[in-house]
Amino acid sequence: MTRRARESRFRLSDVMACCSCSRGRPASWTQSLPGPNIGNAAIVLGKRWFGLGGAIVAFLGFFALPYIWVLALALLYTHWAARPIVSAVVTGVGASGAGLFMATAVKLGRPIARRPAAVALMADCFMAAAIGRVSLLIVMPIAVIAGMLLSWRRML
Amino acid sequence: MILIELGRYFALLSRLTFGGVSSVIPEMQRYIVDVKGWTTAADFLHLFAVAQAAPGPNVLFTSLIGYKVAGLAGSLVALLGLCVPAAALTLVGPGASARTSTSGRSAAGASAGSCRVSRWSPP
Repeated sequence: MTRRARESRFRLSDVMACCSCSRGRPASWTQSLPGPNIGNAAIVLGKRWFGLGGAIVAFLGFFALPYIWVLALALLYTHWAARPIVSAVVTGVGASGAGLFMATAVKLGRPIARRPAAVALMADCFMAAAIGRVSLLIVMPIAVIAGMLLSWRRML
Repeated sequence: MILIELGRYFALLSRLTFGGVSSVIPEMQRYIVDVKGWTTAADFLHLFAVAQAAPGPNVLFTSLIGYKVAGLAGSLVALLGLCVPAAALTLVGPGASARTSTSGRSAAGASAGSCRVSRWSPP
C-alpha cells in the first residue's frame, strides 16, 4: 500500500516536472511544454492510464465545470459592474494579480541575477516586450535562441 | 471574420505558453487592446480579476476574453484555440507514453530536447 502510494506520487511528480514550470525553480524551466499546466497534466495522466480517450475525457473534465463557473461569474460581474463596491473588489483583485506577476518575475529572476549575460537578456526582453511593445511571437523565439547560444558558450 | 481571427491568434499563442498561460497574458493584452482595440485596458484588467476570482485553472481567462470579443462562440474558440495545439503537442510528447523512464529528469530532458540548459540551475 505504502509502496503503491509512493510509486504514484513519484509518477505524479514526474508528470508535473514534465509538463509544468514550477514557479521559483528555474531549473525546471527547460522541463516545460507549452500549454496550461493542469491541462497538460490531465492529458499526460489520462493517456497513461486510459489511452487517447482518457486524455480527452480528463482534459474536458478538468475544464467543463470551471468554464461554466467563470462565465457565470463574468455575467454576474457585467450585471453588477455599475455598483461601486463591485468595481472596487474587481480592481483590487486585478491589482493583487498584477502584484503576484511581479513577485513571480522577481522570484524567477533572482537566482540568475548575478550573471551579466542573463541580466542583459532579461533587460532586452523587458525593453522589447514591455516598452517597445514588440510581439511576444517575435521576442520569445529570438530570446530562446539567444539564451541557448549563451548557455552553450557557457556565458549564462 | 472576428472568430477566425481570434482562433488563429490564440492557436499561434498556444505554442508560446511555456510555464502556463500567465506567460502570454501581456502579449494577449498587447494584441487585443493595443493592436485590435477589441476591448479597453480597464476591461481587460477587470476580466483578468474575474478570472482570478473564479475557481479553476488560469487558462479560463482566455474564455472570458473570447466572450467579451465575440460572445459564447468566441469564448469557446479562444479557450480551445489556446489549449488544443499545446494539448496535441503534449499528447505526442514523450512524457505521455508509459514507456518513458520514471526519472523526471530524463523524461523532461527528452521532451525539452536538451539537458544543457539545466546549467541554469542555481548553485
